[in-house]
Amino acid sequence: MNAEQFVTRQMGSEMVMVPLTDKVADMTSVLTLNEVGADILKILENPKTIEEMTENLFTLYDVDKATLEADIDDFLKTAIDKKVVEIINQERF
Amino acid sequence: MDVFLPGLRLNFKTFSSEIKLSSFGSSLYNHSLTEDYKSFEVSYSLSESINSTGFSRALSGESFPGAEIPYSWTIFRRDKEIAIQVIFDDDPQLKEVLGVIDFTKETILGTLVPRKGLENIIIDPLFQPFGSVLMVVLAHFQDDVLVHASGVLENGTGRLFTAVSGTGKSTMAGIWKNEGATLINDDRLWLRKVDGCWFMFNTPMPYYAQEPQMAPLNEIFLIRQSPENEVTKLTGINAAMRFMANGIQHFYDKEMTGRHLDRILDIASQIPIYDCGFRPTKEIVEEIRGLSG
Repeated sequence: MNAEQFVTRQMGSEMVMVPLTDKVADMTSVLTLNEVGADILKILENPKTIEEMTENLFTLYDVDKATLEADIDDFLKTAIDKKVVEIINQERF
Repeated sequence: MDVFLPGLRLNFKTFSSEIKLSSFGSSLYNHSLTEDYKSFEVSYSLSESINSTGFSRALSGESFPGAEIPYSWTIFRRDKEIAIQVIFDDDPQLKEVLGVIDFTKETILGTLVPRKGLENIIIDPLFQPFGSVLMVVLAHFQDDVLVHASGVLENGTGRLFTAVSGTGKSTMAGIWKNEGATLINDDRLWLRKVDGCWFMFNTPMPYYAQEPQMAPLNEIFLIRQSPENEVTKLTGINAAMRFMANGIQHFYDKEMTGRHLDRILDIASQIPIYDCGFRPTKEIVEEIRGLSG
């Protein structure tokens, strides 16, 4: 998770992220995450492989593995696109 | 000369006899609405040029296209000091202004560069746009929020109506006024927590003088004009972020942005926020009154 570039806060089970551009808050591009998104980002506070993430979330949610893997894939594509999550080791990704 | 803002007393002086302070928008703000306030000594002096050595630029902005007196502003930082610079394109009196706020000494030193050949400079203590940027900086400093909104008070209930410019803030406030409510302001509000509860205050406006007012903040409406009245309660982070979108916010570091988010989330956790499509007739007043009943 790219914590340096965002100000993050939790409200109930949801999360809000305000991006910083040159330290200036970009209030027009605020991201909000539901409970699942917030759970995924909490897991990514420390770098993880996709396998580690999947294992972690599998214990949290009553879901079959194929659905979970597809959902994680979708989430990561968006999160990487919005620079919320960084790939730090391409091979393991 | 004293001007009182929410939680603040600004004591204005001039160090140059050519500067005449003549309050207009701030003239009635000569008493405090709250028991506690912090005092700042504000002094204005004239100079031929501005010296911002040692300051680094944090944030800049400019007037909206078509502004009567176009200007640009910059906020600078140096250790614990904040400086506000305004450069006027075509003001009849002023070329440039630099105001340095020292939060430790509780002073604000304003240096004004006049147009050549002027014998006197006549300004409101909170002259535009310096006064407005100063209010944004001071409000943040004491963890308050400035928002583009109108506010009304009726039978002890304070209601805030927020929207982008030109979408009905004044219209909505006008309808409530006609129905007997007290107008707090129809354009900009200063939100401040007093004894654990949020209140809304008006602020000195550039073009008219108004008595200072305050009211409890009981309900927030995100308004838009609509063919039918439709009022829906919003919840969670969606409510908080839609409210935050209409804040007056200039944040240039992570700590500042975090503090602002904390107060917005605090407001959203204490005060109901509604999406409110409305037709500009008095029926919307009945509909909104019914929410709390």
